[in-house]
Amino acid sequence: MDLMTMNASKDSEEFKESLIKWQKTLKTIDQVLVLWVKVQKNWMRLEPIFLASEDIRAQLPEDTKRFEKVDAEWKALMADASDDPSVVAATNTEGRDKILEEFISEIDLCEKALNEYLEQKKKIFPRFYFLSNQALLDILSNGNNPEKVNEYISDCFDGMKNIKFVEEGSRPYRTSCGMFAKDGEYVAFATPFTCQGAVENYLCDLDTKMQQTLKGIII
Amino acid sequence: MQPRHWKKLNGICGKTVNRQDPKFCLRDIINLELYRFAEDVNELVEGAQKEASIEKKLNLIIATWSETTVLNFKDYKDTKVLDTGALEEIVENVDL
Repeated sequence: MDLMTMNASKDSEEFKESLIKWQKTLKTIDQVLVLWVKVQKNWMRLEPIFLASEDIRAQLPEDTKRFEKVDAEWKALMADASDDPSVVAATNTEGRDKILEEFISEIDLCEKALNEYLEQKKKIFPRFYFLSNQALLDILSNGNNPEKVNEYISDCFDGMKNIKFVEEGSRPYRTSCGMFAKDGEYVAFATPFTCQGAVENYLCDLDTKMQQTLKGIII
Repeated sequence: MQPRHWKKLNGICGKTVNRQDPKFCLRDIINLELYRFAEDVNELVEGAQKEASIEKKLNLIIATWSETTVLNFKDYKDTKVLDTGALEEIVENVDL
């Protein structure tokens, strides 16, 4: 027998008040837990980006601040809730649904800004569309370290394994002398290629460099 | 039967017995001449039984939710997060 059946029974008059109160309580438990799980999922997805990616923090300072505020409040809420883990107390605390809804909309704003930023980069170097956001974020945060970016070359270019750097001077090496195919074949560039500036730009240049090199060999 | 049911019984029979009275005995019941009001008395008793079963179930729901159901947490980096695996069971048990 569930609460609704009890409530509908003509013999429940005596307990009406308590029945209605508990129906409401259980409904709140259900609704708040759904919100809670959603916030947690979204927070866990963005937390490593907005708190740890220096590139994103520098590029999206407003949204980083927004996320940090949610992050602090979220952690405080979790500390509170774990102090009194009774599900009734945790979910029926006055205003808990409101604050969780607010977290969701704030995190949504952060995620939107992040996606717009990534979209800009993808428009400049469309091969970024082949990558997961996580991989793209890794590239963007390491744009200044071509050796690290080199690990993702094979994801951007179907037949490529990576490029070969001229191992001179201080690391990270920036100048490349050729490229390796996935099957191991090596093709030297006609002239050295230097990775400098914004990563999405030098990857475009690398794309052109490959085409020119192959053209030069074939024709 | 709760005091409220005894009160109604008195009304039906047009007499006054007090269940709480320490001298309350079978004679009092017999004096009510319940057989004269069989239909009404039956209805009252059945209602009382149904109320008792609703009350029992309601109390069980209240006890389950207010005492035994807790959220589970696990550590995540420097904070705590909900253990969502354990949560599913809770949500499934919400029986409105």
